[in-house]
Amino acid sequence: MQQPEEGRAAIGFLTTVASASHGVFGGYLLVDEVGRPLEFHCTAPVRVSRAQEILYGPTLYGELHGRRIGGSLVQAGNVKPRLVLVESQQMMQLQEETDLPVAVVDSEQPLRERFGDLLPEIDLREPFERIREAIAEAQRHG
Amino acid sequence: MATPPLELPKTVSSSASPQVLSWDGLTLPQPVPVCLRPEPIEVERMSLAVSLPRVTVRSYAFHLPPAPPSSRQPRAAAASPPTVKGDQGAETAEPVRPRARIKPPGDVVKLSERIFYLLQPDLETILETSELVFPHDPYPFQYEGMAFLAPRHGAVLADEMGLGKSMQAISTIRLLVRSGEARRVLVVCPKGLVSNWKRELAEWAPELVVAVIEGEPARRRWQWKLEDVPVTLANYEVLVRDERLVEELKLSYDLVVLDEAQRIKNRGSRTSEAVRGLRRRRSWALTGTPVENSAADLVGLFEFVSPGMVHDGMTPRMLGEAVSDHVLRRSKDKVLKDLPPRIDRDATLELSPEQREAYRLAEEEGVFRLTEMGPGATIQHVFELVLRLKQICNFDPATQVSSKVDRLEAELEEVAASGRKALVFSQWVETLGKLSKRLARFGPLEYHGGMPTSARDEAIKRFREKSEHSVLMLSYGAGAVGLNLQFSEYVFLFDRWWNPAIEDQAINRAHRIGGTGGVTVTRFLATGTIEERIDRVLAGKRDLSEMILSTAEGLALDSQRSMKGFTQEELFSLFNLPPPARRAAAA
Repeated sequence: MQQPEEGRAAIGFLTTVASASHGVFGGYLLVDEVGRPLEFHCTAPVRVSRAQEILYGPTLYGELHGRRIGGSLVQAGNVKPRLVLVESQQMMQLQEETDLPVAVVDSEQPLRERFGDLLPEIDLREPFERIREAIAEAQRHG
Repeated sequence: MATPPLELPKTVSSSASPQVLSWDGLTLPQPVPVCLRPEPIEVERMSLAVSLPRVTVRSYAFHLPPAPPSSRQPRAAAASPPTVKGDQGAETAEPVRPRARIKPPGDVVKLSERIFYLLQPDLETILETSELVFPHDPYPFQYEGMAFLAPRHGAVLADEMGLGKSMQAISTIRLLVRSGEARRVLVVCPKGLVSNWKRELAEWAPELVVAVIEGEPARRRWQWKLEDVPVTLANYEVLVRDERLVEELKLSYDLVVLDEAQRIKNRGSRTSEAVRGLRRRRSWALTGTPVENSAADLVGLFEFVSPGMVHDGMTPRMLGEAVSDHVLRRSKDKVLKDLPPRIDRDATLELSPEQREAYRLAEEEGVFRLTEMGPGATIQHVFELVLRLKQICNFDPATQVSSKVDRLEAELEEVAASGRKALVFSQWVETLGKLSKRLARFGPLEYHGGMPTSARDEAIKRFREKSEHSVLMLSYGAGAVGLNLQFSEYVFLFDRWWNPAIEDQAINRAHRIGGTGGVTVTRFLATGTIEERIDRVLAGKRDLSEMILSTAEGLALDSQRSMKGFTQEELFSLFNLPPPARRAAAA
């Protein structure tokens, strides 16, 4: 994984989108300090069987979304972000797959207090919307 | 009754269900031999795939220029809600609005390109991070207009007049030039709007160098050939005249923008042929009236915007569907929530060469006379010169050539084509008469103090009721008070009155409570002339009630009252002359 170019601090946004007909899509957007996209990685839909659902039980989400999908996406990144932001606590299982710092965007203020200068001065929820739009577009294109 | 023979299973496995034997009560039961032959139990094993499926990843990378450090503005500050000042001057906070995003146009089919657009931040962030600062904060619908234009190779921005089509185009050009997507842009507009485009380009894109194609053939050839000039500005007539030259020089543009693009609706016209012959990657058309008379107008427009996309045989519905992704049309009522009830525009224009020469001679001669008069020069003398110069700003006395009329004609074309009504104000009845002749195709009606009351009433009635009359021309004296003309959405101040309060009264004929929509007010102002100097003085004054008040028509000026508006010093300073008292002292 490369270090970001000089003067460019990347930050990662990782989320998943579940589709009843296709399965689970993952999306990972790396943006610069002003929110412009540097890289985008998304997965083909991942389907789990009913048996897998039963056997994994409540651990399935974290295992599939956080570790399996999230891990694959973060590994695919070329630029090394300062921080990877996710939307739910279960996605934090990503930490088992990467050395990068991972944090949940639940409440922005404590996050800013904790990470300070690591965080860009942008709306931290907005890039997740972009990921969802991009995934929906990819889905429409098959 | 015969007893049915009993059939017993030969073997019963441990897994078999318990057998139930039954018989009737008449026959004795017979001993049933049961032979149990136990067999080994078979267990069927099933393996479940516990491991989760493999994940396939698709990747997209983007190459961006480094963001300037100064662009790291806190988002919260950028998103602070704007305030709008209403009629009463009360400020009301607007709710935080969603920011405009650039969406991929329908004709972009490559997934990676579509995703590229979808992953961009909102337009305002892009502009902020590109260090593109605007002189005024654009309205939300104007940001949406930019987001519409930016990704499109073929686009028609068909906003109603007064909503800032040129400003939206200029800001998007700026964005494309900054991002490297456009290096050479050609803007073509009517002759009367060239100076307006120059001014708007200077205001909204001050960093862009602009070459204006004008003058003699040799000069134009040189101007066309200029390299490293991001924006070239030409009028339609010049483009038609230089069509072969443009072809010979093999000029090619990243973007061609046509203003008042309804001019090319007739495909057989030379103008249409000339613009369609331009080598270009992107084609944008700006027009408030994309369809003036028939669907064929739109077909004509699209022969430039996206050749072959639509054709004559299409039904209006088919046509509408085909062009829907390429046309953006907002009327004032659609964006009224974004707009103040009155939009003021200064139409700054340059005098024609004929006017400029007449003006120069009159000013030199007048100033010479004032200087010669010494302390004997009075305010009256200064006023006479001011009026003379103002008249030249309207029309060249010898040829009647007028930059203002050229501009007014271009504006009225759109007003009339969209079925709207306009009021034109002038200080002079004589000017109204000249305008009537030049603007005959718009069915002008006059309203001034020289007309009997019955004729004035009739003019108002016809203007209100007859669609063929698109314009009513009024003198400030007669038309500034007492009339309710709020069905007119456009007001043009052909020349300026001495007092903004009188101008406001005139504007309020159209802009009144109960009017159906906003009013667009356009003030004509000739650059480098007395009009500009007077405007500066007036703009600097805040106490309007103390300024010259003369609602009398024509040249009947009350010099005593005039002095209340302009001090003696201010009046003489219009010509860089000291006031008489100081001159006397100096003498």
